[in-house]
Amino acid sequence: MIKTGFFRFKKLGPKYLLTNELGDFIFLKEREFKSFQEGKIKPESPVYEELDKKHFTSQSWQCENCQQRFIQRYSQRREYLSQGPGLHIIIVTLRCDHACIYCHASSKSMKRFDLDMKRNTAQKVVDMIFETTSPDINVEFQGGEPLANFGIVKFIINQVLEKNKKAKKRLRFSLVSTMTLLSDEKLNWLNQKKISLCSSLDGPEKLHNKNRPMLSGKNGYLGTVRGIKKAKKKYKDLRYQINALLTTTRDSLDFPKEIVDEYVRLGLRDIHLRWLNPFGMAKQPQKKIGYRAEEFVKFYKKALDYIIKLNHKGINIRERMAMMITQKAFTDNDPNFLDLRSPCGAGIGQLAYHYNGDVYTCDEGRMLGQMGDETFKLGNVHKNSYQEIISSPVTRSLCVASTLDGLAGCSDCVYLPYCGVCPVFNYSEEGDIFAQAPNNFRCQVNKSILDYLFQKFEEPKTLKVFKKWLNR
Amino acid sequence: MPSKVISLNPKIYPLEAIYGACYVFIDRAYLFLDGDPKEEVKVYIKGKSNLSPKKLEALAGEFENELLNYTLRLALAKNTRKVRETIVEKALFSALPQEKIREDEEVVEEDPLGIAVPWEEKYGKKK
Repeated sequence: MIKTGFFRFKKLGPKYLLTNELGDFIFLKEREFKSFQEGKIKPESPVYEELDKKHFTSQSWQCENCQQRFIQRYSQRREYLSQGPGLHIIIVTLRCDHACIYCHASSKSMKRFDLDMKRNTAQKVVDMIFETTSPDINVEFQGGEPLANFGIVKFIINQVLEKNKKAKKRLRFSLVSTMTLLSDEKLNWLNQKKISLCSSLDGPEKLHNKNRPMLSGKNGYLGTVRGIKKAKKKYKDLRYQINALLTTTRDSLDFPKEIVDEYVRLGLRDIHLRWLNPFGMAKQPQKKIGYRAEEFVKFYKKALDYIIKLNHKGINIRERMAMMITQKAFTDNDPNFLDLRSPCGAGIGQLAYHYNGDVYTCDEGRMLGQMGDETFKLGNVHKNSYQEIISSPVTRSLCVASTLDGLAGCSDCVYLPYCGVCPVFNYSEEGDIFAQAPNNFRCQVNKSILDYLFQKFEEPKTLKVFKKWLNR
Repeated sequence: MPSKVISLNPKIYPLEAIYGACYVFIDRAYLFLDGDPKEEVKVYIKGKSNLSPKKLEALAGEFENELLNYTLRLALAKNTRKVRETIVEKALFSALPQEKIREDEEVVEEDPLGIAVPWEEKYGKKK
């Protein structure tokens, strides 16, 4: 009699998918699954060998070396638990030259200089950032349009670099911008300081401009594309690269191929097929620009299939969600994407600093704050210490509410080792930080995408493409 | 305003879960609890605005789903307590600077209430 180890499972197509705490997975035919469950699988069979190798049998956990290896792998997969906040998002201004229909940041007019971060606040933010226990610091500038308050961006970067001479943390900077305000002077400075740039590109001109109109009525697409091209030319060192972010609206759903083509045409190496967040301005016209989970999943599948096809032709472009799940399923190095881990990064993996010094658990919490709901505010850099911020009951609550092992619908889900929840999303959508998983848009999307990706892992040619993405 | 009564068996739904589910609904509905916590708990539910019978039925259905969700969550919370606590403690502990943790430890070491002092030392040996 072969005893089974702990595993979660689901029927996926004609086979059964089994996963365990180490993120190992295996597909079994119905007959194999039944005999495995009944302890009747033959030890000399190749399936048994694979089950044993991947820690699905009780025996594979019992020797001392096996247990040590298990502990080592489990700790490595959850290394992020011992690090503290590494991502520090700074909203240097709420001013923006765009009026995007879904604006996550609830941006304001370019004339509202009162909504710029002031130097004394910026200094306090930098001081707080260096209180983190994390050996890595990733400072991400957001807005509004951060280039509209470039003086403060420069001030913060210089302060961080100066402070780090003593602290010796592993530093990274990134700036999220529409690029329309990117002058040669600003670009030279950013390039010199090795600041990664990330723009927003929603696809071809017509779609991009519909989603992201400029306040001036000018063609925002042209400005963004000009900025991306200029930056790509300037940035020779690919470690500090130019990325773009896609936000999918209802209008995007009919153009998966065209959107991917646009990214390829501009020489962008990655695309993250992201669904629309219910925060900021997007909350109001959600019905008009939003969609049901299955509509987004259909779009995602079409776009991903096209990306895979392009890769087979030798065109290199990666889809970030697929890449992260491949990394989680085939390695023990978690990509530490804060929305897709357990517990999520709110407060313990990231902090978001508003222009006025208010500190939030994450950017999503900050967006809700901007909408008048301060549930996820942890304090203010002028009034509270780092200890007070981190020890806040809000941080603790979100940590508990995003630990999948204790969540209904998650604890027994086959995808638990690869997934994550967002309590702020749940609160915004359902009025409770704990979601009703089957009714939750995010859960519906993630489950369907994971179903699709795990089925893709069964196709050797596709899997080769995904694994190649990890090595690039 | 029309209301609906939902009758619950407390042996199936713990009182804790009933309170929890009611709380989740206080922004959408007026709720009142009655009955006997050992035999039968009655939940009186009505919309904050005047609801049609169909909408009231839907509201009650949503409540029942939340109740199930809450009950399962409570059971899971008990069953997975050890692993959850380990993960959460590790995550929160790691985000706090060591000096802060040491400060807290020092406060404990000070023992201003004399909790760590043995009974015999404090009050003499039992006669």
